[in-house]
Amino acid sequence: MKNKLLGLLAILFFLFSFVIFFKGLDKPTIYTPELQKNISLTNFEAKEFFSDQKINSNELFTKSNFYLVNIWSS
Amino acid sequence: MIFNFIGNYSLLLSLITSLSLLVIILINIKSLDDKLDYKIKNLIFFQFFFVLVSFLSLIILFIISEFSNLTVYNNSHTTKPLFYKISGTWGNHEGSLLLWLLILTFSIFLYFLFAKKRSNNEKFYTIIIQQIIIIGFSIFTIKTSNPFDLINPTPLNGLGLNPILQDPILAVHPPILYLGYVSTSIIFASSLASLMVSKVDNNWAKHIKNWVFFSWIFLTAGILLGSIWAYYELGWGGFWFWDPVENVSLMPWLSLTALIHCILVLEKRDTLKSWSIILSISTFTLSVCGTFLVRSGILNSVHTFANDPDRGLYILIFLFFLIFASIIIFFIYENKLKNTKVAFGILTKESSILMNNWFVMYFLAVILVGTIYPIFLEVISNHKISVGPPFFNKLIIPFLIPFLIFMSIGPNFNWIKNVKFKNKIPLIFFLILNIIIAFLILKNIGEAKLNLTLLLAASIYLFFTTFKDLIKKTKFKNYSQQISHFGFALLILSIVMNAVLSREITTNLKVGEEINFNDNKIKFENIEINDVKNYKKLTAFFTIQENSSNFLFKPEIRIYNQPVIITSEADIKTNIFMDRFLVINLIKEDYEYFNVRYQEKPLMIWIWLSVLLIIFGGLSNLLIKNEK
Repeated sequence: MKNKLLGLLAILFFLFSFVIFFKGLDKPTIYTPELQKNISLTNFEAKEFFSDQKINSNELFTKSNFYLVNIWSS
Repeated sequence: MIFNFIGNYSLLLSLITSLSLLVIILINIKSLDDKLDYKIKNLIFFQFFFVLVSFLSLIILFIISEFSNLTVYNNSHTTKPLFYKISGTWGNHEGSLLLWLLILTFSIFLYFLFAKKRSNNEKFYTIIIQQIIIIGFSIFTIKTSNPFDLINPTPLNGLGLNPILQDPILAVHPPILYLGYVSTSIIFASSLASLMVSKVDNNWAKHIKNWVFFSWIFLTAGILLGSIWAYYELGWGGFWFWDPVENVSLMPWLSLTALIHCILVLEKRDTLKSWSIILSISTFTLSVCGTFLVRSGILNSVHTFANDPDRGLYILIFLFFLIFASIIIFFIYENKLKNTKVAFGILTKESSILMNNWFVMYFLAVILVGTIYPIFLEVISNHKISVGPPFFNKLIIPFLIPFLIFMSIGPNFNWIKNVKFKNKIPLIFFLILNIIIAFLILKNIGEAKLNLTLLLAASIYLFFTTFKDLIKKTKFKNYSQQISHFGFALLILSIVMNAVLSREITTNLKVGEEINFNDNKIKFENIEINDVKNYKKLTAFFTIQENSSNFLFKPEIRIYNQPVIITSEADIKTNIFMDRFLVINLIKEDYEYFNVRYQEKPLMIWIWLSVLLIIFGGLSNLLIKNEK
């Protein structure tokens, strides 16, 4: 009886895993960042890489036509 | 064109032979006797022969750059050196599957030659199960991944092999790894067959032990080669990254390692039968699971090289067919297994092996969860996450400490009979002494944390106890176990010291600039650009001044022309104490600034050498057994 129950539990567990893997095959593996809206940006000051000039984020983000690119790698 | 024809039809003939084999055995299932032997032997030989011809045909197609073949077109180029044309045969999905088939058929051929003493029923049941696996993979190869598919009109040249795969170590890594992975199918088939005929006993353990060691040696060597390649070629500067594809090779290895120890207990004490069968099943199903994860595109990793959900679906169905079939067989026949009742004490060899088996299973479970949890989470909640080193380190390291202690003291225990506790008191004092030594070492470095101190103490303890066992003169010396355990002790000690003492700096530099790092002065001297046969090479020259010594480093950036891929080639200076590792990356195409990473990695060479020692231990078991 104990063995049958264990066997049944194992089969149920693997059935569940099968369904998850099956559904997982349809999921795209390409990383697409989430769209964030209406988030206020923190002010910061940084040194420009090539010219060593100091830049303030206020000067950069004066209008709404800019992109924030999330560079992601693994 | 003729070789395409030969290869394709040989592949079909091998499938027909497999089906014939299966039918013949099933027809004669009630009267399996020696008369069948000759017929079966011939068919098994022809099955292997046809796959071999098919595989050789594909190699020839790669050598002669026959671009009417789609696999050759996708993975080769006329400018590629001959060595990489040949290794390109298995450096792709289709060719590597043909290699799977070749090893599957070769394994059953070898099994049949060396299983003369096994009963007919067990032998033929093993062949039936192995044939089901072979047929499954043959249909998969022919239907979804045929390496002999044609392309019309014939292109003038091919698309080339991914440059990071054009490496001598990576050329031999797949065949060696596959020998380990695929030969576990025999362990799987034989364990289920012996379970069905109620022959799981010490004789079976003696017989299957060779296969377990064979698979384990090749799997270990394959993982080692992959790790060395990733270290210098991918430029990450480490030996293990917990990348999903690395993890899927480590899981069957862990299962196989636990199985080796169980089989030894089964051979000597005729117990742990169910456990040995479960480990045999899990080893092969984990190997197929790895194939599914790598080839289905379900995981994102630098290693995954075939993103095709249709192929993934086929392997998924086949994998779960194997899992369900083995669970059903196991639960139907498991109650017929009769363990010899051996009442062993707590301080015995059996107990320590069993205890460490559970630890290994725990490590396996952590790695399995860490690898597949992102898939489960994404399907259930649509959230994408990646599980990295902090997860594995936090869950594995605390349990590694008792594991190493059991590994140190276990071999000094007796079989069945408890050792007298008072006889082992010096071992406890020695452990305390090691904790003090570890604490002092780490305090001196400034890293005296509790878990690190205990881990270092446990690894020093294992190192000295195994070293003592290795040089001790005893009548019954188990060199194989002692060499492997000493190698493992050296590996863990090297890894711990490497983790504690590694130093690195990442910065952006242009020619003429220099930077100070610890006692070193790193200067970017010059760059040189050259054209090589199939890539453009940018060599950067760095000098690193350390006290009175000067080191010249020449890391490269290669821009391959077919396919257009940029790779970074690290320059590594190795000595017995440490590796100095320097790698550069392009920031902009004006070649002004470069991203520079310099690392000092202590005892790297000992990490590789210790794994070689572990392999040598396994190999000596296999060879000494054969001599007997």
